[in-house]
Amino acid sequence: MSVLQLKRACAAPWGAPLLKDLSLELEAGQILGLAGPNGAGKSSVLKLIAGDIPLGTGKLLLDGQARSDWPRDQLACKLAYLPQLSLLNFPYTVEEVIQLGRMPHDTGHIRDSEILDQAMAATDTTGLRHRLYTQLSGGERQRVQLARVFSQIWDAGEGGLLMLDEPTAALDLSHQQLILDSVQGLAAKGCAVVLAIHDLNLVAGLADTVAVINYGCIAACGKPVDIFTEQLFKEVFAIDVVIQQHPNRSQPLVISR
Amino acid sequence: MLASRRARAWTIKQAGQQRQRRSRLLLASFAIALPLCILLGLANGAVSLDTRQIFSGLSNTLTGNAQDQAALIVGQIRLPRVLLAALMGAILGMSGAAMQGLFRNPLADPSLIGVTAGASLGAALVIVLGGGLLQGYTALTAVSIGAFAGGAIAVVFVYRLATSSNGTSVATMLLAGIAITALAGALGSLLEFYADNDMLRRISLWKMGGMDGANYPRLILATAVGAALLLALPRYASALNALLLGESEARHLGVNVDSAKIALIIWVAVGVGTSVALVGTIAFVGLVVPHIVRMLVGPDHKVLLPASALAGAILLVVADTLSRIVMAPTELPVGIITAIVGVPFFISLLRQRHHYGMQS
Repeated sequence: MSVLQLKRACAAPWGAPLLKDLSLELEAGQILGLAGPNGAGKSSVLKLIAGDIPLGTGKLLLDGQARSDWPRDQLACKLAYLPQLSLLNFPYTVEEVIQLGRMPHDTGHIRDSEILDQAMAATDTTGLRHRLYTQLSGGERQRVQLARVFSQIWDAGEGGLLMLDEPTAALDLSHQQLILDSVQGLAAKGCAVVLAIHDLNLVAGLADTVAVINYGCIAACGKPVDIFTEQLFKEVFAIDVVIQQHPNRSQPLVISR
Repeated sequence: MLASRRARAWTIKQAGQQRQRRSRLLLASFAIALPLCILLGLANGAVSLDTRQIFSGLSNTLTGNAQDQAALIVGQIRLPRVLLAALMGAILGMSGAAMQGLFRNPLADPSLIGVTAGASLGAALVIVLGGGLLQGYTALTAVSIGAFAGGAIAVVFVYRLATSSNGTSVATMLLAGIAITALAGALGSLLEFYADNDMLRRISLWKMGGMDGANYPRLILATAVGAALLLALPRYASALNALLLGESEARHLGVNVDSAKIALIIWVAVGVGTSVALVGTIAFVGLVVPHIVRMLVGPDHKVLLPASALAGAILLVVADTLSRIVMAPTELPVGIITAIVGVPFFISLLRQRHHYGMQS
């Protein structure tokens, strides 16, 4: 059964329609990338699934059951969402922030601290664990927040759904790779992943399916190899690109002309 | 190799336990300091008493045969007063910590939701309209009821302004609180404009706050409200911890944000409303006590809430004792003392705030 299903979903939280006629489906262990220009609605899709903006018409199903029918505490155990911006401005230690991710769970202190260690290793935050969050750099903060949402669904397995909004925006190249590897590791354990990313080559290398969003609609959806065409980039992003084969991997490579 | 790794593991473990150990140490020392401060408050005043006199006075009061002067002073005057100060300090300290967490703003104050300004207006209204009709304890009770009603009306108003179909916005609530505070302040000034000299003095004394109205009925009321609040607010410690991340993040961690918000606002309104009604407005405790405690032990509300309650109680008991002895037999309003005692300490912490990870 699909972990996530959107059927002709529309949302208009502030009057004017924001998302129109979205249909998506995601199986356990699959990675869905959302691409599109600024303001196209990538974050809105994530917020719709996370429940931050209400569903207008259409259906939003998690494990075949309407999202609104899920009890809040059960949802918190299987669904983790990292927004683009973090508001945290209180001097928690890094460890304390990450441990908040275990709040919905009742797994006991020993398991929680094991997961804390693993989530810190997966985001290279082990060395920061006793630092104060407010004294970290932007990229370090992002890795700490990633560790928090990782720890929230670390044990969710199949049925888990991880949503990341621009998870690599503030990260250097090696940490980008580390985070993408960790996301793939979670997907290998059965967790479904939705992520919004601007870097098209990153998303092409990571995602099983890419949905290109434009003006709140899905402009194209499928495997990166199938949908990344020069025509699409001209229409959606208004730029001329060359699309080539990656020298080492079986993924398309987008190069601006 | 092994030895150095072991040494490093030890340092990390030690650093990790530092905040935890400091929290435990702080809670323990507050818990020891509070009874000592209460004893100090019982011993000092216009008449100084020694420890033996305090304990014989207490036991005489408990057994109901308070005959000598010491027993009367301890049992009838100082004990209700010191305990009232402790309870009010605890309510203000814990309410302040809860409000700063809810508003995600270390500068938030329990009075932000309009309760203090509304209560002041209610009290001024009773003093001016009641005029000379009200005397002694009747006046005190009527003013207290007026203050509580004023505070409650203001909070309901602020809450309504900030609530729409999308829920309650704490940012709007902050602004609505400022607006209602300004409006209540203006209406209060209007009343003062028409008040005579005697009324003016009573309004301004009431505004400065003081424990001089302490008696057993008031103490019982304060104990009931205080006990309920001190038991209720710590149940929201985890929710407040998650709320510091942001409301939407807290929701995704399974917190029922809307019900937590309403419950916290009601508890703080009842607590602060009661305290303003019983002892007037006491500035500084609700704002600065949680701030200082957070600098020492970090923002974890499981420690912050009880530690702020204890620290608020200690500060107010000490300030009230000072207010009785500095210019004895005249009593200074306690609000003046809380600021004079607390501000230098607060400023010295601010000077080293980078040690505590606070943003400039």
